[in-house]
Amino acid sequence: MKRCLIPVAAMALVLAMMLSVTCAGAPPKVKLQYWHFLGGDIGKQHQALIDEFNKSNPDMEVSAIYSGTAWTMRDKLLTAVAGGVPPDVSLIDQFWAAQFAATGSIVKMQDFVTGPDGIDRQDVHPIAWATATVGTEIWTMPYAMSNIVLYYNKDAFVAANLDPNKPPTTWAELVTYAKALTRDVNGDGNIDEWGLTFPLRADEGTVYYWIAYLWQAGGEFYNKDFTETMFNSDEGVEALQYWIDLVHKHKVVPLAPPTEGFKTGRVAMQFASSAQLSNLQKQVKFQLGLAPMPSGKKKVTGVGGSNLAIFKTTPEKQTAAWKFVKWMSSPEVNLKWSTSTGYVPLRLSVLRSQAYKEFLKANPLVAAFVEQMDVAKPRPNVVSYADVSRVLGLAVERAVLSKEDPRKVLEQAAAEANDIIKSMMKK
Amino acid sequence: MAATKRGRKGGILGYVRVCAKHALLIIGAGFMVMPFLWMLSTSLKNSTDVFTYNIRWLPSPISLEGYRRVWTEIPFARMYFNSFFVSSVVTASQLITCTLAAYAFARLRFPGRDALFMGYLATMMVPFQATMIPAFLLMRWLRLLDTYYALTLPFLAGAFGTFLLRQFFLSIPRSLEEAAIIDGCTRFQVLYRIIVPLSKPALSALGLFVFMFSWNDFTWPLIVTNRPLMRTIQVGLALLRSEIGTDWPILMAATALATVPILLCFVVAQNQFIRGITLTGLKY
Repeated sequence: MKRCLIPVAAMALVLAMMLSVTCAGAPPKVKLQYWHFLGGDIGKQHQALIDEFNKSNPDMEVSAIYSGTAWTMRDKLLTAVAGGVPPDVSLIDQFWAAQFAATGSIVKMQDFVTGPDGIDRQDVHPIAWATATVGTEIWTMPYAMSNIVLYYNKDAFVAANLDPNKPPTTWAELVTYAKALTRDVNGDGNIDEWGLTFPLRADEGTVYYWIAYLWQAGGEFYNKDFTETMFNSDEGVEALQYWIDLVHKHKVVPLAPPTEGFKTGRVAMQFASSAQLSNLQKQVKFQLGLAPMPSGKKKVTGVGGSNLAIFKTTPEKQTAAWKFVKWMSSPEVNLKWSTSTGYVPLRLSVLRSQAYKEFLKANPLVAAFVEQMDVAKPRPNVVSYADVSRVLGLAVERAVLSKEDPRKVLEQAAAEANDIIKSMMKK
Repeated sequence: MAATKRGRKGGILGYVRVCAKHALLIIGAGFMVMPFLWMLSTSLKNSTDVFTYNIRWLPSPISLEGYRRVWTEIPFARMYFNSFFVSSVVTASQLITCTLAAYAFARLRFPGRDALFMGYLATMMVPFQATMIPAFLLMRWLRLLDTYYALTLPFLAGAFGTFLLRQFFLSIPRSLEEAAIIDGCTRFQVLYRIIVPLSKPALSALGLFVFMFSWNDFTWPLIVTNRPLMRTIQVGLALLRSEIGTDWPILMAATALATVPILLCFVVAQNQFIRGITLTGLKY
């Protein structure tokens, strides 16, 4: 059903005239609207931190507005920015930073970080800064950082005569393991248990994982100046061929994965975000294993997560927003946050702290992805990335689903992506 | 009933045909009902029993945890009320505005009528995504964001409903109206006493469409509301999903509850549809 703006506008006008505009007096507190997309258990931990902030800062009131997943919130955020009513602070996916910076709707975080009320830049993980940096300047504040890990079902390993304490470490081993784990249990000719899954959709969800493979093969996404894409290199072809082989040659990755297959025990290994750990631990009934990403020529994993952005409002609100952002990323809060969720500490002082070391001792699975941060790499923070990623996502999906020649598919995607970059640079 | 009678007349063969037809329909119905059953089954499980190797249709133990948590974890009652209120206002309003507009387009003569109608229809071709931001700006300019006005105003009239009813009104014989006018009816009385009663099937179909559309709308309520107390049920459902893993029992319990009004609408409207078919059958 389509809305018709003409009668709507007329009726709206009439109603607007009937409504009296009430003017409230100056508020005693600085009220901030903070939008985010953290739900479930993590959302509860997050809300607890905000409540704590409000309690310890009586001159401020931060209302957290939860708007579903990152993708649903993105629509809301873009509309609000276009409408000139952005929130004061918002959580954004790391790779949106360049786009929001380009629209001029967010305030550069660098000025606050290095300002009189700044923070010790050396204490924040360099990879975390990398996720927040567009060009040479810091635009957002790292908040929830994760990386890609391999979750595996130890019980399934045992059933397939694999050592549950020796997860695969290389591309070749991943194939061998996945083959052993892919089984037709009831002998009806159909596979009931699969070796491996990763997200296969034509969007950023897939590209995020595929880029890690590109890097592992030794390839690069962009050239040094971000003026051209480089994923159609031999390394890119190798990475895509590896994915195609997993599906079609080795037949260990289902094209139509069973719903919640890993949790139900129908898929033995799964690539996913480290942030899912606490939730998985609570939901699965088998012994859960966690390993770094098996490596190719290089040992690399992808960094994901979300950062805090301050939107352009009034100087007073922006200062208050920084106070909130600074608190949220402070070592004390970061310690609480990273020990109650599966996110990696952002503060080096937290990583070195006794409290965190004890937490690692009690949670050995966490150690695997904390160590992995040393080889973690964020996605390129440039304006063209979101559009290029969409083109690449379609290409990867097409190649994997229809077994198309990876070189041809990547060449086409690169040509299309380069056109997009060119037209953006002209502006 | 009629089918069975015909079946008897056709002897054994006809009987087989009827049985085969029904068997097909039952299979079709089975496919339609399955997702609902799965939803109900999941909503009655506890969080870890959802993930079983083989699908377990009958939850054991039966857990009402999901249904309990729906009311405590989100302002579910308020969201339910919001959806119900917004959908009812929108449906009632469209039934009135569309009837009036459709009658004007179908029967009244005024300059530019057809051009206006075409223009009105053309708005149906514009996708929602294209008008979303202008509509948002309008709401902001009117200072109506985060209110019931923002949720209802843009939907109080609709081109689709006007078009649907106009086509239906055109199919009603003019002689009925002429007779009424000769008897002294005014235009409004004609509409109210002749056209509307004869159009019940079309009106109930439209009412159902509008209610369903409004009940299921997601993006617009998400964009124009911030306060949890202003949010509708569909937004509430989306908020129960999380990137880190969805808690299925609570989501399915909420979804099951959110489906009830739509099911009720179908049950009520179905009688109207059937009566509508018999009515139209008599009319021609």
